[in-house]
Amino acid sequence: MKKLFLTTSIYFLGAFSAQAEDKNIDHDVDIGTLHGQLRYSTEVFAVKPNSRVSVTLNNTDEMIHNWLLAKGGKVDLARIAESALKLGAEGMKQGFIPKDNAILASIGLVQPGKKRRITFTAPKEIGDYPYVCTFPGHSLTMRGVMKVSENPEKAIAQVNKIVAENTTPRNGVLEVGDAPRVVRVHVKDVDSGRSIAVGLPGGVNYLFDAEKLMVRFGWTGGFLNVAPDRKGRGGGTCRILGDKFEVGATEFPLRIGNPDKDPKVRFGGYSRLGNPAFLYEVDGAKVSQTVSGRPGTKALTYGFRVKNPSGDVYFLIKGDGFTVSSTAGKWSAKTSILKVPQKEAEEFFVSLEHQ
Amino acid sequence: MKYLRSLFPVVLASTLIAPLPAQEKPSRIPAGYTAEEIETPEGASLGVGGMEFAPDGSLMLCTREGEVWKYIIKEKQWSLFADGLHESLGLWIDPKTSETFAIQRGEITKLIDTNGDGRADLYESFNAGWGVTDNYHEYAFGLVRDSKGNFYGTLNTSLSWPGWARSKKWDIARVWTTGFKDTEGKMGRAAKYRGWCFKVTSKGEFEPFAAGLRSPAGIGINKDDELFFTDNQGDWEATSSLHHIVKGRFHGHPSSLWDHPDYKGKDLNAIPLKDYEKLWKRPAVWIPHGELATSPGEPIFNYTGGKFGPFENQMFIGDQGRSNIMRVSLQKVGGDYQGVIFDFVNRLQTGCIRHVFAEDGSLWVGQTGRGWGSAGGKEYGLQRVSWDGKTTPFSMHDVKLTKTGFTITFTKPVDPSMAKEAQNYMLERWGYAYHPRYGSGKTNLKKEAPTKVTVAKDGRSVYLEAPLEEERVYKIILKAGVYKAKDGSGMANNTAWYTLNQLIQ
Repeated sequence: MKKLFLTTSIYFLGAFSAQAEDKNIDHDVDIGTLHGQLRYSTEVFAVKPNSRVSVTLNNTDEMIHNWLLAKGGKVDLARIAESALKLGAEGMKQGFIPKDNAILASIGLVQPGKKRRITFTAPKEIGDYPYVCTFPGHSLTMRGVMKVSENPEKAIAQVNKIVAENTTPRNGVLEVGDAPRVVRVHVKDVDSGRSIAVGLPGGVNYLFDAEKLMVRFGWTGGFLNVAPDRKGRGGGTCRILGDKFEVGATEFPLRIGNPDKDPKVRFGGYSRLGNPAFLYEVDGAKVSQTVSGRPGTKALTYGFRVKNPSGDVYFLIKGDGFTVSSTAGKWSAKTSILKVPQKEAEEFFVSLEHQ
Repeated sequence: MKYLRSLFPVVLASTLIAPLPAQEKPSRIPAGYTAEEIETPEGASLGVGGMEFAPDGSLMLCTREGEVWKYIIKEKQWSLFADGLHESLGLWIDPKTSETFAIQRGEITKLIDTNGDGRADLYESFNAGWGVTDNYHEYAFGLVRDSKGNFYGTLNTSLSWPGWARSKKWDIARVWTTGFKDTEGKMGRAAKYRGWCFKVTSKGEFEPFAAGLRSPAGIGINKDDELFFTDNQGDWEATSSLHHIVKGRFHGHPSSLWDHPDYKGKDLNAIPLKDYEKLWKRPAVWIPHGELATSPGEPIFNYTGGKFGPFENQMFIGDQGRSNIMRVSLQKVGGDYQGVIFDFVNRLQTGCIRHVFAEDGSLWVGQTGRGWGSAGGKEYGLQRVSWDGKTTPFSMHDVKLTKTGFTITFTKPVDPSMAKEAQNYMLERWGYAYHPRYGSGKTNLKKEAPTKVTVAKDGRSVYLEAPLEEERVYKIILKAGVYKAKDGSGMANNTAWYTLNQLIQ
């Protein structure tokens, strides 16, 4: 959430810093990267039509990233990301920037701790222009939107409406600042006594069930009202704030070796270094799962790391109304199972986007 | 309460606040002791759920709000160590390695700071062997560890009776037995091992340890690895109580027996009351409701080597309702513990639930006043009770049962001419009913003066001869304002409650 305010301030400050450096620049935008989260720190910014825009990709993360601005929508981004992936070994040289007519501007690979800057002219047409990191495995979550508007300030304010207004708990409302929040409470209408609510910066939230070891649902916007747990005797069921969306899970989703065999699982806890990672064992194999999403979208991406699985890894999903994509394996719409070969299971991402 | 408040918002508030102005000082505290308020971190609700000292001397505490705080005493500096736990009501820190374990509703969690920045970043699930639902009363209390590395904690029963929260959801697994109404026995079992004391081995294996607990808000352990817990008055619990936990014991509340292998598949409501009573292990000490406590917390033993005054090896228990600290001395009779309880410090700033002795011998009292109406009225707090190291308060030190009466020992000699008068003593005795109803009044209440009084030559003890009965609480009252030490000092607490379960054979 704080990130979105930052965006606003960048817009105002932009005029001053641009004057100092380059008289022709109308908007000077700094885009950082969030540690271990596969996300940009700025996920939305707004500019005037036909203005001069400077974007600096400031890579504060420990992974390599790039930045690519395009016109179009999800389909175009998916096509571009796929062509980037197809570059293979050649991609490292070309910065994973493929040739595609939809690309408006791009910054090639930026090493950890480095920054690179680009200047371009914004489109004349008012609208939303997505940007993405096309480094393999990053494009599902590492996205943002450049808004072209006659009134950039208003455009940003409208985006901010989806997230809460301050970071101070008030009237039981817990909000998310610039670091993820992990809170174990009972949540209304969740039939688990071991719910963990996670709020990510930017207004993407989800509920991890430490009993079934899976994400139960996601929600966008405000995080959590914990008053039922903190007032009087407490222990009440807390309310999620914002718009809930389903991600189609009804049971623990992973299988190793055989998709029809019930797995033996054990919850191991979670790490809070960077993006929270849930730890558990499936048939003896250690699994770490991160979850990320982007503000304003009803999508969650699971990052699975499976250590030494004894066979292929299967990801099972039930339910309708969302798109499944992944960085590894083969999805069968018929069985609703993603099969990830044993040797690719060390790290793979699965994205579930609500339609 | 809520209803009244909305009707008389201003009037009621002022009349409630007016009679309680003198909250800075406890209304009753023995000579030589002081209670000091500790400033808590600004902006944080600090409903204390657990407290321990770390090997570096800092105080760690976990809260009902799910946070773990570190307090560096010398610098009066607070820092947040962990957050987002689910109502953490117990903490254990390894005195050598600083390894930190917290109990929350759903599990015991090891909190690890892997990058050394002072904040836990790995929340490792150590054990989650019990069941938990979203029933608000399913507290998990702890946390103690014996010399072999086993953890122990206690699990509250679920609150469940027809119509609660206008829902049928919690109308499950209660025991009221034949002859009673099905609205009795309000606490029950909504998930596995509710109402049990559990053990978790050093390897993290769960073992149900003892059954029959109702609302066991505090667990304590002595030097000999003996376990004790306190329970709160309610259904099947005549009044608040202190129990000695032994593996396999049944402490009185039957809904936990659903998870006992001997009762699998049995209709617990078809078992008659007298059978439960036979199975029931009476508490070591009854804590009379209202007179002494309404909702006791953690029992803790005083092993300070005399730094906390003349009460070495005795047990201290705080109470959440009356915001007092009580003192217990146990006696083994017929192989089982029974004993005496006194009030010690009365009316602290709010409900006392967790206690820990510091290296300097002061008693740190973790407090929460939210939800049940605690005397003092603060929502949360932290206080420290210290002894000045020199003043011996005039007080009963202990009461021991003999074959024919009680021997009271004192912290210093009594005035013998006053102490030999039988009229300066009053003995009350009563029993309690065991039943699924909420609490019990006193049964078979009798009041009488001792039949004989003998003052020891050194004035340090007084023997009272009295008619003795088993399964009674004996309340021994020394005449207020009259009872004095030889040096003229009066006493802060003139009453003792001795639980006589068994006579000395």
